[in-house]
Amino acid sequence: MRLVDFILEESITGELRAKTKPDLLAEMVQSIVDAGCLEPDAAESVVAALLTREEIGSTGIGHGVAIPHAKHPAVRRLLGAYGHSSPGVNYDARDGQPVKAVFLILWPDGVIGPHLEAIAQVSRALKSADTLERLKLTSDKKEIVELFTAADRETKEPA
Amino acid sequence: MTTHSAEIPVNIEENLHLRPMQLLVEAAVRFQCDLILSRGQKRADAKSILDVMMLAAEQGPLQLQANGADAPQAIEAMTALLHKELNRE
Repeated sequence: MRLVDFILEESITGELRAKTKPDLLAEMVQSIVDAGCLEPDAAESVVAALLTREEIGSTGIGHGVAIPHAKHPAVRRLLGAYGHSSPGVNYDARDGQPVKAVFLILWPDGVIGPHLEAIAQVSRALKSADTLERLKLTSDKKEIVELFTAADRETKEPA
Repeated sequence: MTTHSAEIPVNIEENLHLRPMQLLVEAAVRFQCDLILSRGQKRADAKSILDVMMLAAEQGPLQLQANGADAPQAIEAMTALLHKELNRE
């Protein structure tokens, strides 16, 4: 699986407006609605599902990265969004650091595990070259897409 | 140098979700010994969340290997944690 297989280019936000975790999740879910991949009337419920998951434990994994994720019946296929925040958002991350690079993952209810493939690819991408450091610094959507494409190419597993 | 290893069996439906991975890394960094988590052909430094996340898509038994003075304690603690936390999410 590649990043570009699930992260919608239309749902990449170079500079998030949100200053809080709930606002950040709502803004990123709205980017998926705006991309035409989620019904508008499902957005609120999807954000609620993401917040419920956060109550189990923050998906802020440290290093300025968060991977909010949830399954939801209104989601038809594995979907992802990416958002960047220059100042960072307080996300109750494990290391206490504000979150600057956010990978949001949604998948259909009743399906086991597609998000785990997505999480594995996010980690491979972030470990490749200086992808993570560059993602934390850039608000430029074109550069973000280029970083994703390059990371996908570098992490492609042998057939 | 003491090497201790243990295999942690995981059913195929029991995926390695993000929360147990985070708890595992938080537990691992408390030990001085080197800790390697492996599954299939993939090996990960159990003290690095990005490393451990790469195992998320793998299936089959998890293996944990510790190398160092406090290896027995690390194996015992982390095996117990994984058995407790897997399958909860």
